[in-house]
Amino acid sequence: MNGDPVDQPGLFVEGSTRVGDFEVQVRLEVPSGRTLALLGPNGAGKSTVLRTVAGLQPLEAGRVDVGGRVVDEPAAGRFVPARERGVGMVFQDHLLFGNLTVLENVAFGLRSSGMRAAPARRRATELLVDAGLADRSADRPSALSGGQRQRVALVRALATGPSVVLMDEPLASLDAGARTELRRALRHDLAPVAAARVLVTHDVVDAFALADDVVVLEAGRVVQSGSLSEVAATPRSRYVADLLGVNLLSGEASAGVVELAGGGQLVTVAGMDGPVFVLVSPGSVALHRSAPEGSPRNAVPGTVTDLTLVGERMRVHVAGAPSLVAEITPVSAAAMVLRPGDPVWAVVKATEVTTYPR
Amino acid sequence: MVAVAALAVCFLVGPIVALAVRAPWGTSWKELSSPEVLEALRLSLFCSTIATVVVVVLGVPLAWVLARVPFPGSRMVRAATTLSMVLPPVVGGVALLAAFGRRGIAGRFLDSWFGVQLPFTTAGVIVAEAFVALPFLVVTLDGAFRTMDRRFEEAAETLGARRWTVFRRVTLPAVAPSFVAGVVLAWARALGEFGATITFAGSFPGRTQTMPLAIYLALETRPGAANVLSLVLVVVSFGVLVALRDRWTPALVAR
Repeated sequence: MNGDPVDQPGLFVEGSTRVGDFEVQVRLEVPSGRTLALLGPNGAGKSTVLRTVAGLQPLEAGRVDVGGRVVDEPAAGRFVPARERGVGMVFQDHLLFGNLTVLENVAFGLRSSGMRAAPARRRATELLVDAGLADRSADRPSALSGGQRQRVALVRALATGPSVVLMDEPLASLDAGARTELRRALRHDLAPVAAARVLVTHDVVDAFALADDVVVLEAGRVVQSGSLSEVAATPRSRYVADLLGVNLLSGEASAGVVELAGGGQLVTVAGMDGPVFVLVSPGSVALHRSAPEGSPRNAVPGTVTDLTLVGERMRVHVAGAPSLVAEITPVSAAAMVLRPGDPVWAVVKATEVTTYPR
Repeated sequence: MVAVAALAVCFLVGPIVALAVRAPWGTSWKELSSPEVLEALRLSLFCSTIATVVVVVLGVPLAWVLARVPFPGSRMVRAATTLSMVLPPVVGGVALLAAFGRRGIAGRFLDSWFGVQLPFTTAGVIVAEAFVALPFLVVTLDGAFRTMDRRFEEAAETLGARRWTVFRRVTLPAVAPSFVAGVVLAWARALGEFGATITFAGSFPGRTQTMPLAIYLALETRPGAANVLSLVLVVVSFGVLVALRDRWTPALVAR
């Protein structure tokens, strides 16, 4: 995160809101021109955060700034309604108006902002040409593919030049092929846009493709925030570790040995003491059918629980203390004749055990 | 089930067919072209159409408020406003007299302040018809306003649309099928209105004698004519229903 909301107007949110009994507390800061991925499992409160930014749901406490202007601050009795916020939103299921054509959908915001019909249509046509969707102008949304609908929804949201753009899982409802294509299209459409953007997703690939920074939300709380590379290198929650496919453990480090919270211990070369996260890349976990010879620092006996093929690597889940996932080639998995239920030794070099403060 | 359903169809369609079979086809043209019949038909169409306009003007805001604006006692208000739908129409007519009759609670002031008298006038017919028809639109629209996907309205708001724009360009199109259904129901109810009309407005040819009243009166003196007039109402009602369907359904279903 760089910049201060006062110097670099974009989006700033700090506060809490409530949906029924579920409380969401959040702090985000997105400078103009940058994209923040709001990552989290279903029901974490991601959409609720977007709704508070858009003005569809009031804060209970705290503050929302859009483009340097305070738009929600309950303590000051301030609440700017959605229509006056200058926040564009792309909804998960696009929410294009079915009774209007693609062109009329894109012109909707321009007309609402007071532009006359003819110039609004001209401007909408230009925007559709830029997006390569000009040939669909006269169609109803129902005639478009899922990916095209999401792009029209984005063009519609961008048409009025909002200072913040919110995208609520725009890729979620599409199949894999269409997602890849839409990801590329979104990059293209968003590139010239100066607005601060927030992308809600639970797909780490979307985050890598489109975002600069990440905020991870779980059960209504921010569990981690930072640049994409930071979060990927030092995940601080099980959810993110699972998304990245890495082994994340926690424990107490003392003199190069980490006593793990779930039982067992791992030896590391880092001389860090105190509560730590422990990261072990699955590629650095070796498997042996019998107790390894020599004296490796970390050799954990366990049982194979599951085998899955990811790309060209076999992921072997080993239950033990600690439980670890190893990634080996299918050839070596076949040579070892690994099956669920088999006993196995997981071996990790001390140099491959990364620790960072919890 | 199928047998009972077939029986139900016969029960509903049979009498209409009988109406056509028993019609004195030979003299029917003469009956139809008589000035009284044309006058009653014209009056019926005029009054029911104006009543429908009144119903739309009053009913759309009422349905919207009932569906969207939470206020204490809203359930009571909803029940009260749909009362005239289940009330015997004659009772409705008596109630209208009590309210808008020359010595009625409100009618007294209408008369002395504005010189307006509703009972036994064409305006009275319209009032009676609107009174019984209004709940049909309100009930239909109220449900539609409740069940429609409100997120489309939110999307419009984020695009900067004011409340009225949201209502006109998003809410109304979304409830259009129910709106049309409600309008047709209300119009049909107004067209067929008998009890409240004869009680509140009487049966003066050319002024308050609508088709249903003309049919009822003709039944005593000229049963054949009553039969033909009934057929005319059947044709008109059916024609409007079909016309609206062809015109609206394709555009509404496509989404």
